[in-house]
Amino acid sequence: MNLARFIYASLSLLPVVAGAVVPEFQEGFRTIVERYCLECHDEKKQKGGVDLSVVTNGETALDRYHLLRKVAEQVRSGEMPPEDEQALKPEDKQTLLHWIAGTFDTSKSPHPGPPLARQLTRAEYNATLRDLLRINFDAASQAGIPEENVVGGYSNRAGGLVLEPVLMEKFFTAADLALDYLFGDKAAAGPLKTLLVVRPDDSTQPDSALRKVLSVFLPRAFRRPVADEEVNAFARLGVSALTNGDAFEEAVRKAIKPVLVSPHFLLRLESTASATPGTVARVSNAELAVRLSYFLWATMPDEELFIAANNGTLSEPEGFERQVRRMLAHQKAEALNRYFLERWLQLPSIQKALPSQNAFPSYTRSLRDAMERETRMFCEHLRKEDRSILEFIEADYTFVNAELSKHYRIIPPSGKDFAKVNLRPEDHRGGLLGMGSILTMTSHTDRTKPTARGKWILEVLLGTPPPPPPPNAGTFAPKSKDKIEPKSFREKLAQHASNASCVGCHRRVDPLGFALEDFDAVGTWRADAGGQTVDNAGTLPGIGDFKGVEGLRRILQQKQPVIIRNIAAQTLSYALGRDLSYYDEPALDEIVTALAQNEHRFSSLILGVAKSYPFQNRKAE
Amino acid sequence: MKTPFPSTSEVPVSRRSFLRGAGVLAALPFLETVAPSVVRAGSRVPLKPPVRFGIYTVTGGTVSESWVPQELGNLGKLPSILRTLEPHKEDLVILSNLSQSGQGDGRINAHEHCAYVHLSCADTVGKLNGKPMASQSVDERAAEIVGAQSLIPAVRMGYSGGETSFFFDRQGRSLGVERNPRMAFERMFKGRQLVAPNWSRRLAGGSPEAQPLGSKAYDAQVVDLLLDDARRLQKQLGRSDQGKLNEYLESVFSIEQRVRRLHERIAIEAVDLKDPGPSNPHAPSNLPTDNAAQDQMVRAVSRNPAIHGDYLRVMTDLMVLAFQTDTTRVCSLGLGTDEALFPGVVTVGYEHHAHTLEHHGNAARVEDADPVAREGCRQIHAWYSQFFTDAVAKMRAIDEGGSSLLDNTVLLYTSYMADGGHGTKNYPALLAGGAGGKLKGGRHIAYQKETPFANLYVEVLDLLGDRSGEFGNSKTSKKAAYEGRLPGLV
Repeated sequence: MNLARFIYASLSLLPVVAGAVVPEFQEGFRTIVERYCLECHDEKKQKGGVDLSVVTNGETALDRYHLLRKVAEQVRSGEMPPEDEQALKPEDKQTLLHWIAGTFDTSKSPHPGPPLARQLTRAEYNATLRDLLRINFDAASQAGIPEENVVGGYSNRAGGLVLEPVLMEKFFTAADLALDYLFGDKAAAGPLKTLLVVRPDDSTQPDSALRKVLSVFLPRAFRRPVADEEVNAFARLGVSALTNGDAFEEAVRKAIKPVLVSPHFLLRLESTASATPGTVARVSNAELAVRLSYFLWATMPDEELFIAANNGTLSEPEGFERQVRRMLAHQKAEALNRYFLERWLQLPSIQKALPSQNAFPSYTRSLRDAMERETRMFCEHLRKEDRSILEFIEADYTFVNAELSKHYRIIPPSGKDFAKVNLRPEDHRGGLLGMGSILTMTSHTDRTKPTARGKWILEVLLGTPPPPPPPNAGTFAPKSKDKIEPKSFREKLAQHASNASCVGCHRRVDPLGFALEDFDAVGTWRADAGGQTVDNAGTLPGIGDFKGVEGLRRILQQKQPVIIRNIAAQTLSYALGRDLSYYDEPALDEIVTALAQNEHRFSSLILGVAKSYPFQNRKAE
Repeated sequence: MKTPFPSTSEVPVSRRSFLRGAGVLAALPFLETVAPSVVRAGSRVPLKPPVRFGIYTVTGGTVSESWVPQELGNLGKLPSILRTLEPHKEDLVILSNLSQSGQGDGRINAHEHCAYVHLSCADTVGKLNGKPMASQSVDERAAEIVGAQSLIPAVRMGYSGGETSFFFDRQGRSLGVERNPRMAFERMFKGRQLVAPNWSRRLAGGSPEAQPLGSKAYDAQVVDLLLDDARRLQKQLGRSDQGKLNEYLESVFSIEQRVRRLHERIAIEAVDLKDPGPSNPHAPSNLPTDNAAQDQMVRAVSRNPAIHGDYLRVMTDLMVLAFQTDTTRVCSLGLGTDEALFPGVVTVGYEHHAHTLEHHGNAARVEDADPVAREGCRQIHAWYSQFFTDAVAKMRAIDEGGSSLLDNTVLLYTSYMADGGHGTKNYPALLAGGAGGKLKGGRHIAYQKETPFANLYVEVLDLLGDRSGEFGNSKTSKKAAYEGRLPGLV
């Protein structure tokens, strides 16, 4: 579970009393919480992992944004206090929600969040090196640069990347290997020619040719304009090589190697030299271009983006939008799917799913890959065709090949290969909830796991992950004489979840998964569950009864604003490389508004994030 | 193919003093802790080959009734999981009731919780921005004590990572593990000869001075350039960028350090080569020959037990080789994965998935567990033990000139969970080896229930020469016992 992906349910949905003064901490929060909440949510009991006594004044509240956000959401929806406890008086509810909204209101003093040092991820490094040298060479694999050690969430989290010594060694190795390839492999003759814009001849001395090569190369490598003295610093190494008798190419190589291990290359540094600490300013055009290209492409800007940054068109609204749309349509934007959408959906987990061969002989490697491909193509379709992000929840099409359509028992595509197919209501598919990938990766080896499916919905779609189970919760309770032997898995789970320390979360989580019980552990629509009738009914506190995947989709329809805001928040969080906080709320409001005005199209999501205040601005420290 | 780091370089001391004076390096404990020399003629001469510290930790917790001997004191017939160690039991001390008490911050699952406290024994572990956070792990601490004397302060290899992140630096940041055997081999041995140290000659003071590194060498110029540039850059950056740049500088310095040590070591090994120590180090026989073969092996670990076994064998051999050649004195292997399948290893029932077996086969009480799944877990752990036994046997067979490598090592065999149900009480723990004659084997010592695991690390660190007498929560744990020590162990 990853708290980084927290709920961003809409604070703007809260009843804000126009012109009313935000109440003080004591009357706006403490008194109400004491009366209704602390009995369960104090330091001692911490029911559901929630301790509200940590909020001791308006200041400490700011550090507890995620917690209070959840409080606001659950109080607003009526989930809290629970039915069997004293109900909140309407005026107390209003006051509490008003206090929370007011405490986190930054509309009068916008804040782009902390400026964070960004380090290239493994994938970004590899793609950047490839684009910079124009070679088709997987330096990261060759040098053994490891995947980021990030559990869940996005690999580009600024706080999660450490430039540790072993990694630095590998960057040195990778630089050597890439240059070996560029200067030594026949396949790289073209790229080498492009790099060496000038060669020494009768009219050009070797050292001035070297400087010329570097003056073209360095701005691309450092992704910004470069001063003459910087060019000279790197040129000195090449000149010294020339003096020692090295050939021109070898001298260029020696001048370029340090570029590839320089902090300007490995890090995404943004200069704040001239800014007064505490002030907020728009980032430079060059910096904005870099932010954009790593957000959309996970690599360095291309020629056109560099030009737009240099000639200033990037700072004009039309010019900016033109670039974003161009980049989004570009093939390189697949990176956005791969490193953002697919990780948001936790799609890589499908590779770890292990349905047992005994229970599911039809689950083969090719079926698994087909499931993954379906989700991937669905996401790609959303981007390329600029569809509505609501199709994640409900769509009348999907992508299958012959094998997957057979598995789903739906009308197959005309050929054997993957194609878009239309779905009928009786197929029960369409959107993420009917996808084999999602259903399989949230299952056990031999049965479904309603809890895992419920957790996936809460965490991924709604952005409200339940807290992790307590350390001793791993197993089902032991058999005992005073308990009736459960007849079905559902009863077994119900017994387990009746444990006082478990029930609070399980009753929020499990019912969502129950609704998906018609799909077995590999996502096949089933008539019965091990000889027993499928029980696909669920009840959620504050929401009521629902049945089956169709019922679940209706519940999610009601939750649409939460889902949309969550998607906006995930996207913004990925773009910024950090967790969001209260100061990002105004930006989210704007992104969500723009989405609503543009039929929730994918491009309006991306444009909204790219235009947002925290994406465009930086605070000087 | 170039060396994986600059082949020669030296940053003049004056530059470093300047940088330090400018406050840039104030946050670099690295430079304070790493003494800049190897054993040289006439300098502190130890009387024996050095003591090495190895960590051999496998996933999944264990099955304690088949791990912990019934009897205390002298070891009788070993329990079934440890049965393959029977010929080596005089080299083993089994310790029971060691436990962890560190708390999670509510943001981590039970596997993460167990993993983060495993080698750090932190009072609190958790996540920051999606990133594991704990306190310094015992291998890093050990490297601060003995690391300066070997080529690489600490080597971490294996399959751990992600949810099973065990290793943390002084700032509590999670550290990477080398998963690829060939990469691990190249990092340790590139540019060197595989030669057994002639300890008696080295200890008698016959080591040569390395040729001074030429300051005009290309790679020295590269490092100079990077440092100059980074220094200029500091002035233009905000606080967080400066922090990142310090990370960068620290890493560049450590590379520079590595290069210097390698240079010195090559000179020493050239002399050893004429009159090497008695053993004959060689590259692991099943070291993958290229990247493709390596990827194939690593990818198949969780699906194919035969290949998983090959992987454990090659990683084990690399650890032994690292100690044998004095490449490092602190080496950790984080092996196994809870995701692995074990058809053929598990011969009961139809379930072969380690994680599922762990969940089904463990319960608060043994009698509540699914007996078939528990037997499956037992078989998996007996299987892991074979590979550990291999390591012990190989180290016993390596003669360092009158004592074996095993005599000069303290090798911990354990798991990151006590049992497959994310248990934190009564971990499997045994020490193999003589720690330079300080550790007597053939014993089982049971401490009082919930004795902090940290106490064991305090003892191990003490064996390596640390006199601080404290590690992790050895003194701060709610269950602190024996004044943070393990009486009777040493």
